[in-house]
Order: sequence, then C-alpha cells, then structure tokens
Amino acid sequence: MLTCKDVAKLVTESYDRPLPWWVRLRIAFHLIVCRLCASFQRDVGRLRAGVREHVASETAGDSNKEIKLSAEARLRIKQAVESHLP
Amino acid sequence: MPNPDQASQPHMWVDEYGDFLFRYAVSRLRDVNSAEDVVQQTFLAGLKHFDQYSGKGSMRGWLLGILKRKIIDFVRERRRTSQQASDEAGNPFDQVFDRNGRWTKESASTIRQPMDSLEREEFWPIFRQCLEGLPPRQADVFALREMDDLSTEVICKELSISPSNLWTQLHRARLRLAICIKTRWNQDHS
Repeated sequence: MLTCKDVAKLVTESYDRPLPWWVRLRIAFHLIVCRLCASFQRDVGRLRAGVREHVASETAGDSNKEIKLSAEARLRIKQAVESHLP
Repeated sequence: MPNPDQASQPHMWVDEYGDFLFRYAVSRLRDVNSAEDVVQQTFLAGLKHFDQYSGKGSMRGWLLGILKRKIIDFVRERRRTSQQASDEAGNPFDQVFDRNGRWTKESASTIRQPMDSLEREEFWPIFRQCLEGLPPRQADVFALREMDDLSTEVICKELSISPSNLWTQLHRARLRLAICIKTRWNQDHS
C-alpha cells in the first residue's frame, strides 16, 4: 500500500523522471480514493504552471519592471565594464 | 531609444541590459549583492568573448545565455561554501505527514482549501516570498530546475549530486512551496 507520503513524493518526482507504468497505476488508484493527494497534485501542477508563465514573461522582458539595479551598482558595473573596454 | 546597432556596443550594455539581467538574476539567486556580482561577471565575460557573438541572435539573448552560465557557477560555489546542515533543517516531513505517512490534520486542512483563481499578478509575490523561506539549497535546485528549465542530468553534473539526492531536494522544495503558497493565498483571501 502506498501512503500519502509516498504518493506525494512520486507525484512531484514524476516531473523529474519517468515512473514505471505499474507505479503510475498505483498512484492513479490512490488519487481516485484520496482527495487530499489529488488536491496536492493539482497544487503542484499550478505551482509549475505559475512559475513557467512568469518566467516566460520575465524573459520577454515585460514583468517586474520596478526591479532595477541600484544607482551605485549601475555605476560600479559601468566602471568595471569601461575599465575592460579594448 | 538608441538604434539596435548602437545598443549592442559594449559601452551601452549596462544601460540597455543591466536591469533586465539583474531582474533575472535576483529572482533566481534571491540576493541583491549576488545578483549584482553575476551581472557584472556577465558583462565582463561578454567583453572578453565579444568576438564570438555572431550577430545572428539578439544581443540580449546572447548576454542572457552568459548570465545563465554564471548563475549555475555561482550556485555551485555557494553550495560548496555553505553549511551542509541547512539540508537537514529543510526536512519538512514531520509537520506534513504523521508517522503512518498520512497528511497531518494541519497540512490536510491547508491542502483541502480551494485555490481556483490564482492570477499571475497574485501568484508571483506569494511565490517569491515562499521561495525565500525555503532552505537555500532547496531553493537553488528548484530555481535551476523549474525557472531555468535545466534537465535533472545537467543539474546533477553541475552540482555533483546524485539523481536521488536531487529528486529528494526538488520534492521537498515543491511540497513546501505548494503548502506555503496555499497557506498565504488563503490568508489573503479570508
């Protein structure tokens, strides 16, 4: 019998490695009867989707625009770059 | 706004790409000083290897590629110099599951609550706080895996850890994050 603790581990591990079919089957049976684990599985899916969505918009350059280099850091980095210019 | 050719010249880099690269680095490293360091290293490495920039992709994309590399190097170094004990402190299972491997009353009541309409604008600030609350090593592997989408093979190789160690750390990170996000979201909406 898989416990909820086992199932929670396998649910998140399924994102990192392929699980054998018989393990997937046992998880599926557990999720049918255990609403808590099913809910946890949805939460992990949301976490992943939320991170991906944010990263995509961050990489496109259109989120968290208020986060900037401080004036001091900008100056320091500029000076470092200038001192290395050919 | 300078034209693209001008923006790709190194003396313009900090003004053009500094904030973008800093934003990217700070959300992964969760520390302003560290993020400033890797951004500076990125520009200097970019200068050194400027002749390798083919001009095909965008300058920003090229610099971002260097930054990603610098972030991995930084994480490896931080891991090497930090205390091993932080991993043990990061074992959340005592509070989440009981001795028989069932959800505890407390974790069950968190998990049971609905979380249907989590918008992106709401999600990110909550997520960031929860990520900062994780043991640093767990947060680092989570960032490499889920934010930079590196394969488990690459992370294991870069950080010299075994696959099962990585799976365990990722699992702990996700378990903690899922519960933390749900807890905070429900606090905000009750």
